[in-house]
Amino acid sequence: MKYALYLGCAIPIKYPGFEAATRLVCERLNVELVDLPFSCCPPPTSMKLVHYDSWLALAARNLCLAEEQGLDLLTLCSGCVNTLKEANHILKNSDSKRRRVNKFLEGHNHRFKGTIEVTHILDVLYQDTVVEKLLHEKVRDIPLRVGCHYGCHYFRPPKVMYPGELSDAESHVPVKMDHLLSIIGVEPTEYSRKFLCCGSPLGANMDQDAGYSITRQKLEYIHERNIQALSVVCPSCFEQFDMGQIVLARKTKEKRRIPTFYLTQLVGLALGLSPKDVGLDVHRIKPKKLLSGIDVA
Amino acid sequence: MSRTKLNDLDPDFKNRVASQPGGEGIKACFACKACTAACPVEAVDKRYDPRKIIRMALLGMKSEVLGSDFIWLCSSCYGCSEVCPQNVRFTEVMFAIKNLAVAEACVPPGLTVQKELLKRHGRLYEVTEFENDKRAKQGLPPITEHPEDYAALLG
Repeated sequence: MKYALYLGCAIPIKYPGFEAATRLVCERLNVELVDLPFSCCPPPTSMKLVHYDSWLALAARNLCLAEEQGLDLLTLCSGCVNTLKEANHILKNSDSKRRRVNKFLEGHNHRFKGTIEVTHILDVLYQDTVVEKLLHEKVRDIPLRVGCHYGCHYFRPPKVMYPGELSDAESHVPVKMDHLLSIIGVEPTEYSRKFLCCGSPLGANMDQDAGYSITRQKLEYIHERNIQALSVVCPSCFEQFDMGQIVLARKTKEKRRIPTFYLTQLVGLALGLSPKDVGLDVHRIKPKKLLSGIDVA
Repeated sequence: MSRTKLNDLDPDFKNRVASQPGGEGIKACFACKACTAACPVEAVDKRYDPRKIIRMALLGMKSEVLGSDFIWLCSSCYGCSEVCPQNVRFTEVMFAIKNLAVAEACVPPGLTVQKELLKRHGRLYEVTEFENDKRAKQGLPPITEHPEDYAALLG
């Protein structure tokens, strides 16, 4: 199993721990990763709004880099997977758009052919062979009540994100993260409005306060269920919960704080990696106390 | 909002939205308000109301829509698209409306800055020695910027 690793903008700079955890976990689970000279995806929450044609052409350029190596592209972020999967879907299905984009790319020595798939780390880890290996390699359980937050762009719109699995469904409830975490002894815990937006895109463009109001609402539902930690698969959602709780506490005087983990950090801990290996020391809300309670140090 | 004069409306605006990629569904709306009910942004900020934006666009209130600050509040979570009985795909309609707004030079400053960063670095965050030191401490290889082709393709 071999993929072109698409790091995106935020993870390698803001959260190198997520990248380290992912690389170590993949190595242990026999998933080979190849680094290529990718650039920004660009995100569905910014460049797609500014200039659709540029957005599509730039996404196509990234797809071409992986195509030229004959590798499927593995993303670590809900935004990146949304852009790259949607662009791949559009360009494979529309002759006119593919012709247009290829005209842009001609001068830069690329040509989109439509020979690869785009996938996300969660989907890669969820494959049978990887899960079997995980069961075999796992050295400890992580017995915490964890709430999963998937991030809207990871699974919506389902027609584009999961075309094969869902024929023409308009809505789709993802379960892969909950299932995967239960393998490592986590107690995946349901909560109200689980698929509510985290609020992050609002901060980037316009109105941080409105964004944090959504985050606050979501956290209320999470507190209701006595959830001990959150698990996410996107650096923007992570920042919204990790940083967001600190910012919100300044206004609301809320005392409860829930640590957030990136999925591969939790899997890494179960594989015996140390909290430092997976970069837990840079989190704003420290999971140290929570982890020492279950003898992970 | 001040009173709108009928003569100021642009009856062709809805067709322009519909001709953009993603905007095709706008004319199918029958104003049931399911989108607004499902919208997490509307719940916290009443300036943003999906149904109202569709009605304004269909009525031809072009300058009120494109020049507004509320169109930039959409978080593109696709909540509205999931519940829409008419398959308007409002999230995509918003992409179309925002593209038209940018063509009329109505862009929030945050997005202009992002575009400049992308042009210069080919990514949203600049890579300096500081970042690569931080990566080295985490046992990761250094990364480099790849702005080649980017500025030209960004247009």
